[in-house]
Amino acid sequence: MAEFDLIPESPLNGLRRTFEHIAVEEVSGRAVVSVAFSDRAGLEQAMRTNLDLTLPFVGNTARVETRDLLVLSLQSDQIFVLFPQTGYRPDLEIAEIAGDHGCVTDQSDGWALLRVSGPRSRAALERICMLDLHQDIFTVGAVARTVMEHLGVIIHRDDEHSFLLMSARSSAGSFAHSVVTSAENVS
Amino acid sequence: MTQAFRLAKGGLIDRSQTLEFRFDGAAYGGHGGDTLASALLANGVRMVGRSFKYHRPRGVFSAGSEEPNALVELRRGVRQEPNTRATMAELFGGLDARSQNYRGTLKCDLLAVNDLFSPFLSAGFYYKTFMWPKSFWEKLYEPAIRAAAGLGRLSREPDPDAYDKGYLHCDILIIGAGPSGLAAALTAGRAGVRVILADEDFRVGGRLNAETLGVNGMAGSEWADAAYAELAAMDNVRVMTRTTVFGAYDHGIYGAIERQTDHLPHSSGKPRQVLWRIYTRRAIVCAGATERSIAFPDNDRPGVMLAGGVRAYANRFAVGSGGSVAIFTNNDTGWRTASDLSAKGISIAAIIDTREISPLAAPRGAAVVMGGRVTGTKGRHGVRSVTLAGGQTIECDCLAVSGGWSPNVHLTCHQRGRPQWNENIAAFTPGGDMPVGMRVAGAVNGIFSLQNCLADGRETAVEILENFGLNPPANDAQTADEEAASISAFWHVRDRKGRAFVDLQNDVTVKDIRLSHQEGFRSVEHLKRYTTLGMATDQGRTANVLGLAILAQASGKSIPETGTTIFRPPYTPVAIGAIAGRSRGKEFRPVRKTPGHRWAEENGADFVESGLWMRAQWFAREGETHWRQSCDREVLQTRSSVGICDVTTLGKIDIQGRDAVEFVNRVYSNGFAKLPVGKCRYGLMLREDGLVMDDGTTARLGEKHFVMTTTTANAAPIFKHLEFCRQCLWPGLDVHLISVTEQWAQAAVAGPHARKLLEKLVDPDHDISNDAFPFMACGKISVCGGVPARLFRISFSGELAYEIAVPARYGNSLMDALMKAGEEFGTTPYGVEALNVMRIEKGHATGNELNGQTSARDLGLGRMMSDRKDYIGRVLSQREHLVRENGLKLVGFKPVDEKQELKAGAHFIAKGKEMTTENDEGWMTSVAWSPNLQTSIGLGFIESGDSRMGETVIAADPLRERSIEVEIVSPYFVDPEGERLRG
Repeated sequence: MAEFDLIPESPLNGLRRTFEHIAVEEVSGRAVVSVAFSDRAGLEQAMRTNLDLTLPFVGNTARVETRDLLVLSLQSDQIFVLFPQTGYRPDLEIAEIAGDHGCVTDQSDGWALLRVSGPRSRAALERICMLDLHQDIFTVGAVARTVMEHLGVIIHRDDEHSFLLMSARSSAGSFAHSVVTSAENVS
Repeated sequence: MTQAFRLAKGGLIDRSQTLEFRFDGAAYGGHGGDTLASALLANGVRMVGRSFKYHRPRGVFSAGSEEPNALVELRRGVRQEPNTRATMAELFGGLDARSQNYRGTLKCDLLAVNDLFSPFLSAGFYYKTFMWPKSFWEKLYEPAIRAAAGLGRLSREPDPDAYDKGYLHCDILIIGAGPSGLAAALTAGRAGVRVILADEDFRVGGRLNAETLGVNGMAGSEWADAAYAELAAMDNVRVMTRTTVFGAYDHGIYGAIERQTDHLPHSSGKPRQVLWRIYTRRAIVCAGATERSIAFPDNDRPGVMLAGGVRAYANRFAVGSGGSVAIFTNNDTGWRTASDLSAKGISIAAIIDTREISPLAAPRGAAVVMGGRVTGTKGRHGVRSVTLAGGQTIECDCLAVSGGWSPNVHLTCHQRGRPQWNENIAAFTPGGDMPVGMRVAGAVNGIFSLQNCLADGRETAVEILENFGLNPPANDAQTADEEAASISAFWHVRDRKGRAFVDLQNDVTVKDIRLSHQEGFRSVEHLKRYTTLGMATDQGRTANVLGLAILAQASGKSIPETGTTIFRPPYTPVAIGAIAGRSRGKEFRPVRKTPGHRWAEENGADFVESGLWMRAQWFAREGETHWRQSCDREVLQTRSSVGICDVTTLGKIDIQGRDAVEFVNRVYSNGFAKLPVGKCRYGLMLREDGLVMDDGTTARLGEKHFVMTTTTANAAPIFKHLEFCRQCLWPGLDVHLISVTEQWAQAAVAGPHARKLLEKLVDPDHDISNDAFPFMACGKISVCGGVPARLFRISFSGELAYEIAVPARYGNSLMDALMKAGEEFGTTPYGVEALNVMRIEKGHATGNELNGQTSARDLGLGRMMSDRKDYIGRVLSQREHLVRENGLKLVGFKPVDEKQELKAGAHFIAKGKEMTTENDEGWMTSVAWSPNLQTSIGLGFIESGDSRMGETVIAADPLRERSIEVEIVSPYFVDPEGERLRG
């Protein structure tokens, strides 16, 4: 037993706010690991072999339901892998899967994750998100990098009325405020 | 009052809803669906304000957003909003409005004296009059003129309302929900494309609400209601009322302002207005047309109104603008006003048409004067009679004037499209290059009959749908009543005495326009600026074409030869608050906080903004009353024992890949190829021009893995630079970058007891002794029972020091643990002020020295420019000026009189020389009070500084009026041999 304990804190202290037809809540307990690669074919093979997963192309995602694992394809040579965090080194778990085909970096502590859901979630996001979130354009499973209220954001539609937003931890307070204000303004 | 001018029946108002409101303190009643203007007219309030320059009585002139006269102050206190168009203000219970622009009372305005002096107050009078003495302009004339002129008053308090912004997307944006807009929307909506239909009114229908013409066999307004209902039920259509599209921007982007709560007594915490950015594939401008007046003497009296407005008040609002109405027109729509009013029982005193042949039948009892001219009006606060050219006087309390209709071409001009003259309608229609993807339909296209407007709207939508490759819906054409709309241009009644107003909002008269021409302001652009024609809230919507026509007549040219002004955004006034949106006060920009922010707050930190970051400046302790006391204590305690500082804000970039080492070696000027795993190295990065870009420490965590640190301010620019290098300069290298600034919370632990303190946290299987973990070592370790961490033995303070990083979730707890573990050493937290003092004492450069203008040699780091490899900036760093012998050198400075305080920004001048730019030898970059040396110390650049140790020069500070003698010294004030940091 160490003399001193370090106590973990989530970026938004478990924020949860509900409005008429909109819920805004922090998503915690998810590991976020970046995999950068030069050899797409190699990584694709490794993912298929180890996860039974087809590597998605930029703007798309793929899931492994049995492991509650989500792959966000963010750029031509980079993906983010999200999955339940159970240990100190989620990057090593993914490194084992990627083998020599990817450069793995733990990003689990760098991002605040917010889910905006409910029938009015798109109306709320219209106030801060310049992307076209129409269900025919930004379909379920889509992912994109964008900017909301001056802050870099990764947005992923994980259901018809549900969006996962990822923004930097240091400005999470400002980001959450902007999302909550949007929800308030349209409720 | 009891709404004496409210017609007994008809209109599109909700008579079951009575709304109480106040105007100039008096109580009135109106109905749901009224505007303030219609409610005032219903109550017989004809005079609603005073004019801008001459303070002449003015009344409601129109029924729409073009209103130049009826500007009021709406609401009270901090929410007071001046220059609100009464014609656009939707009535609500409790509305409180006041007239504006007078001194005394509205009816007895002391400044009405201006009207008596009007012969002296012609256009440009103050340019000519207030020439002497010169100094009086700023001190006397301008303040006096400003006090007398102007319109409403601001509350002078911060706007308490909330505003918001938003982004919308559509296939087709239809601007205007009149007949052509509705027809286009129905066709497009039924085809399934995504449509946004926006209208500034609170009710869709446009002129259909103001007319009695029918569509598809029903009243026009009923058809509009049905169309609205159908559109509102479509998932692919968004109907936005109270929304003005005010600007057409690049790439099919439009700006729109939606007034969400202006029609309510309170915003209830919701945004009052929303500024929308609308991304479109196509846009159809169906903005209609605006009626214009005819210039004749005294044509500005309350009761002189646009005929279309009078018709709208009767048909839509069930309001008689007068008991006996005369009509002065040059086109057929004036006659429709007569017939509509007559049908509602309003007496038509006369129809005076400038044309010779009567086009239509006049209502019974109305005198008809063909080829007639109105040459004057009478009535102090409102029209009582009008005088005709033949001397005939006609008693009336309202004169409805129609000089024709001008298409609302504004949005088509926003990307330099220049309207073209259409003689058939005596008006400008859209011309030149319109914004990409924009089409026009209906009246804005110069099509004035209702049937044709409906057809044009539909056909334009059909064309776009076909262009999209879609099949338009069949059989959805509309049919409408026929109407007459011919016109014979007539601009102003000539050769009559008295002022004939062209621009009512700016009090610009026919005489002013002629004077402008006479004085050489012959371009229409010059006319506008000399007379102010077409400026202010209405942007001359009722005046521009009329003014242009008069200029053309004065110059003996045709209107097309004279030219026209074009329009810029915004089409309608937009509140500054709406443009700011949420970006006010503490929401002006995002705030970045380190994971240890809460710990710092709890420990008395005083924060400073550093970019977006909030950083602790110092930690005040009980009894400390000045920041210097806190800072001095923190420095002394750190140097004598141990201090901890949150350095999370430094940029951290993860660099991985087979070619990571080659990449790092190319971006830094000093060598990294042989840096062993487990070691850090200070790196210097140059720009392509050879000047220093940034510095920092880079650690090699693995054969193919580096972590680069950057200065806080340069974290993003350096990452961007590295990505440029990776993607564009050396795409063949196998290297990948990702920022880990947010991932790791990092703390500096500095001072003689730093190691002892850390040993209490670092897990026992990691040896951090001096032998095992010497200066510039780095490694992955674990702390507090397994928490992964990174340890770097680097020192910015010059002390035995480490930087320890843990995943950000543990950042707050880490600071707490460090303090608890360090209790036995009297550990102090220190802020950026103490950090700065210690780095100056140690001669380390930061942003003040790395200011983008200095070279490695200037900084005394010339040896860090390798001659064994290539790197960015190598070639241009060898430029003659950058390698000159007598170049600037970073050195230290101390005041000769140690009681004196150094000031950053002072420039060095040789003793005895004049304080001039030519004698400038360099400047002081950073200063601090050194609690160790008990004197002020500084760093600065001075020519050949490294060979001038001991020399004294003057640190000249003419801005602060103090110059002191300083000695050039080594920049290493503390531990020059670096023994402490290796200890």
